[in-house]
Amino acid sequence: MNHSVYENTKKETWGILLLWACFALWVMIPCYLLGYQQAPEETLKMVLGFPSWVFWGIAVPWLGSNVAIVLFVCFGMAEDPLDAHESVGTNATSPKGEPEK
Amino acid sequence: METLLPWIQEASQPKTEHQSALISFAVYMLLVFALAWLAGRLRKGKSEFMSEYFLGSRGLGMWAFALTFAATNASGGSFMGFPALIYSHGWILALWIASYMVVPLVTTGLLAKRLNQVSRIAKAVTVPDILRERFGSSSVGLVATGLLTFFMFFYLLAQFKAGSQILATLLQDMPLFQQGVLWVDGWKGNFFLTQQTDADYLLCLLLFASTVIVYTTYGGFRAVVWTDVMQGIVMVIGVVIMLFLVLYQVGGLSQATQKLAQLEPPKSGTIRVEWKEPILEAGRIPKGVWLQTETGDLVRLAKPLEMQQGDTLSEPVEVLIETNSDTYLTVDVWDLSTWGKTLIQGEPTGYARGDGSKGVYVSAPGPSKNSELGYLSIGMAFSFFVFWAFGGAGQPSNMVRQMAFTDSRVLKRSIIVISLYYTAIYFPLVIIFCCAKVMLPGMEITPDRIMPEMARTLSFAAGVPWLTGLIVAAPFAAVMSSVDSFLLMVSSGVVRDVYQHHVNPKASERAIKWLTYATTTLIGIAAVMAVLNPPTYLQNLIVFATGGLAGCFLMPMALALFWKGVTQKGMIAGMLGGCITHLSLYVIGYLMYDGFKVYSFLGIQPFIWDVLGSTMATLGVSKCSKPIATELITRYFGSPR
Repeated sequence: MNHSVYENTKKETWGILLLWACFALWVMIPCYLLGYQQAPEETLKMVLGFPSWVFWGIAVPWLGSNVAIVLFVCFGMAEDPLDAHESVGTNATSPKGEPEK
Repeated sequence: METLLPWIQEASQPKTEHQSALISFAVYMLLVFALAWLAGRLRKGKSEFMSEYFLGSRGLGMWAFALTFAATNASGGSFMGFPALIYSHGWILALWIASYMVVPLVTTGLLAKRLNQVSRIAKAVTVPDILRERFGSSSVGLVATGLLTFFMFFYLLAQFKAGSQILATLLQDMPLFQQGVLWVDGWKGNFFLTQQTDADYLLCLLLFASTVIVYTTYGGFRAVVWTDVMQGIVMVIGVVIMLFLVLYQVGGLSQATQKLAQLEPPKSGTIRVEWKEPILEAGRIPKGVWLQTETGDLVRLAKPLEMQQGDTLSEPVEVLIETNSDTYLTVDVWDLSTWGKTLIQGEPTGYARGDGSKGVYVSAPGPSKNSELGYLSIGMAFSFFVFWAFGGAGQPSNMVRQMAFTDSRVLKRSIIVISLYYTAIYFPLVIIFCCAKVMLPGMEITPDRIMPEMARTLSFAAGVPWLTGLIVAAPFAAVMSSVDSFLLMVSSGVVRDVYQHHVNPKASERAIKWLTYATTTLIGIAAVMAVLNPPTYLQNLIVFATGGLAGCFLMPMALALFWKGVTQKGMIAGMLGGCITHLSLYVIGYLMYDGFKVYSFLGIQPFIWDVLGSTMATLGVSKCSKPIATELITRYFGSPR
């Protein structure tokens, strides 16, 4: 078995959880401050046609997430060989996991 | 005075027929069959039936992996239920769906690489296969198969009904379809199971089910993936075309948002019509017709208004009461003043939050019919941010795809493609259906029809009616791409995990092949039989199934892949722990609300409790039970410690 996949995937998992948490905060904080703290009757603030809380709390982080995902995939994820010591194809197996004759 | 009934018949005629939409939709269906046929032909050259039929020989490249993953995740809900929610609650749905910005990374990045590696070492073809081989235990495999088949079948039922409903919406005004409905109506009464089924629904169910069952059975996983790729492309093209058309026709996004900010939620109530003379002949005014009341209010019929011979006063009928004066300019109002007076009965009911308020569709937490707290509290918004991302990672249908990609370079590129794909689908859907609220008033009576209605409105206004067929093919494609995947998963569970591993391990390739064809077909037929008289709580069934699958499989699978200390008993306890927590919340919900509803303990998404239950059971039982054999740990982790 290629041990690097196990080690690298563990590191990548922490990176992914961290990114998820960052975007959760980036979305929730502006939406809460600009969206939930404003009464519906107040004058609508818009940015590029979006309500301002949608623009700063969802549209901008969404674009930011695309950039972050590209960077993470390019620089944070290893290209591990997945079948270094195994054949690429699969076989019908017996219940014990042995290839059928 | 003009006679009432002929006038109603004349006014009820569809303003436009769209045969061109039917033709473009038929072309799309032909392409689906052509791809399935090609996939079936290609499979005949392969020596290993099981791995090719259920996993496409692990040969998925970037586009195939990315689009089958994206298309399978986008079920009918994305194109029917989600637009209906946006239409009903406005911009707040952007926050509800915001987690999709990180869904591709979390659902594919967390488990995919390791899952793919372990499935290769185990030579696994299905999700229960992986768990069985990883723990060297057929009991683990059987529990996984049982849970997967149980929850997946519920999902299958829901999608079969959704597919039939979409088809009915698409075809309802077409003369050829109406003839087909009359034909079905002629024989359905002869069979016990179909006596109570609506003829139009039954015809669509048979059309939809036969299409999916045939191409999935014949083509297997490769056909499912190829059709998913085409369906994924159809979906994104449909959304992009709609986005451009809607922004052009509504006069730009700023214009739409400003108009949306001026809207107040409608009210609901009942009306009766007081006829000047007794009705001469029985008839009905169809659902959806706009009427003006004696007091000048504009109402839309939520149910047909029945007229019986000799009536001078109609029965009360539910209506939506429009509260925005601009609506008069955009809808076709039937004038019944020649024949009688339309009167509102009693006090109309407003929204629990947002009644009489402008600005609720553009602010948080959004208007709500039932809750004074609004549609989406900040706590629930966060819960959904967790659920979409991690719930997706726990779906076995995603895990199967993660077993099938070629190498980690394909995975990396696919994550980027899926991210861009979801950006191009989900955020534009919010924009499109916020604009729809401005363009098409009164759709609250049938919110699930907003997608095809918008497709038709936009296409006809742009002078390209054939586009309707292409655009409404998008939700149909979404349902099909989910149904075919789930059909194959249930079938693989039965053939591979039950028959081949427990009934006849020495079955020949030929026997397995024919058993697979027969099982896929039979499961499809069983699902059709189960939805002939469809359950009422359909959306709840989908939530029940997806939540249950994620609760049972997310943490046990993650721990099986990353933690050496999990034991066989710990794994079984984890899967059952998730299942028991999930079912318990539904039982409590049933007792509390007297219906098929889940109980959200402390107001938190039930999925989070399922995952907690599953994690605690896995960890607790693993600590107290006998460790698995050292050879198995070495095999899957490279070293015993």
